[in-house]
Amino acid sequence: MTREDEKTIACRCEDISVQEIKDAIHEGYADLQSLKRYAKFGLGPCQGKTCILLAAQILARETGRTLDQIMTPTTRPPVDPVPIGFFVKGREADDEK
Amino acid sequence: MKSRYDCVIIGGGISGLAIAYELAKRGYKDVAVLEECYLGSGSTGRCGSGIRAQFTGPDQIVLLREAEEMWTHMSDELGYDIHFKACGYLFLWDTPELVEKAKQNVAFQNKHGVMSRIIDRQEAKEICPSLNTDSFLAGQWYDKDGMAFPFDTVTGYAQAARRLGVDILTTTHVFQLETTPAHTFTVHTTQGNIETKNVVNAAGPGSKGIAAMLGVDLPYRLDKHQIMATEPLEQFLGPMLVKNSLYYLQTHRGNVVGGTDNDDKNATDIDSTFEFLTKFASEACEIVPRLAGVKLMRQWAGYYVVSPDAHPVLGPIDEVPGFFQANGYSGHGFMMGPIVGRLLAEYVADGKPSIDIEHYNFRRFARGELLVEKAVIG
Repeated sequence: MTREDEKTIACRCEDISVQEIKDAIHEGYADLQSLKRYAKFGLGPCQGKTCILLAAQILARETGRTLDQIMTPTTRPPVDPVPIGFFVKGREADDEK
Repeated sequence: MKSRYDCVIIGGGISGLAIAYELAKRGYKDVAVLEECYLGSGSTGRCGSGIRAQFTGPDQIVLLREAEEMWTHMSDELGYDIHFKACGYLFLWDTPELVEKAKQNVAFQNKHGVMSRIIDRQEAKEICPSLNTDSFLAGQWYDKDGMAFPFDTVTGYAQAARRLGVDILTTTHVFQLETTPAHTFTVHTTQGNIETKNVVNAAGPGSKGIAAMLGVDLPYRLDKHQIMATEPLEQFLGPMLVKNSLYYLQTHRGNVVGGTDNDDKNATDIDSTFEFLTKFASEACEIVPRLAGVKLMRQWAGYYVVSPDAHPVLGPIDEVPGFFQANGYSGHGFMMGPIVGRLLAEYVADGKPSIDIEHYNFRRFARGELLVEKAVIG
């Protein structure tokens, strides 16, 4: 465990550190799908665009695999968060409500 | 993985893991759970996370009443916070006919120990201050209904089962099942063969295919259901809200999660669609207008494994001794998980469950003894 790992945030939406990801890997969450759901990164408003590849690299390094051996999670729509009002028929989105 | 177990459970969702945990707790420890992908990757991890006892059929009311009692203590039981919260379910009824029917449902539920009640618009507004009271006539409320976090529940059961000696194998696909002359089973998996005395089929959407390997025809269809999650917000919503097919709640992490029905139930794909979003958004904002400004973060889909009477198949198969079913929940598998875990473990370990669930047996279809349930949401 290093101080850098504890202080380095991998997932900025959910405040998950590199150390927390490494801990979860060493607890046995050695596939990216389970790791993400256990350590709870990649689930915030950026939808993992910042952290999923970082986590995949950490996972590859910690388990002696290459990146292409790591299955990445399904990308879910929308690409960026959109106000629900945008989808209501005949209405305009209203961020202030 | 060993080459022999007393019991092999196919499916690493809440059903399979709860059954494994309950078996091990009873000292029945030579158990393996086989999951073809990762734990919770099927219907469990895709579900809306609601837990309710407000059903219309007596059988589901009784089982879910027991399940809710178990959910209340589940974090302590498993030694892991599964984030159960009795947030209550608030059904909104918008026609006099539906209100009348709700009154009958409530009387029936009360008779079976589920103390739901009809409330007026003002009380509904006190329970959920964000409600648009013009969008319904009356509410139906039960404060012991609630929610839990599916992946934390999966983790809790899996960790507890492993501590008790259960082998849990992921990315292990079962492609063939055979009975042997010695009244055991050979389970052919991508990690090798296993001999076992008992097989539990808890494979969710894969259950029909697993049963077919032993010549058992489970009469299921898969209905695709879509769902979405918003950005996390401070707690504001309160209960699970239900209006017709629409439902949503706010999780302990702050995301609003919910869905509604869509006309692509029979689709063979499991893709998210724009049509679902417009329907969901229109219905959701009608009852809680301030949702319009909340950002939708992601959407996904999963399957309801629907049986002819919207009740699961639980218990042994007469024609194949040692082959047990825990599937066909028709959208209610997550909430039933704890009680199914206990009752199926009792079937396998003791031959008899502590609550009579004989009428949930597969044989009801051949005999034409279907059960009754009208309250399927989504």
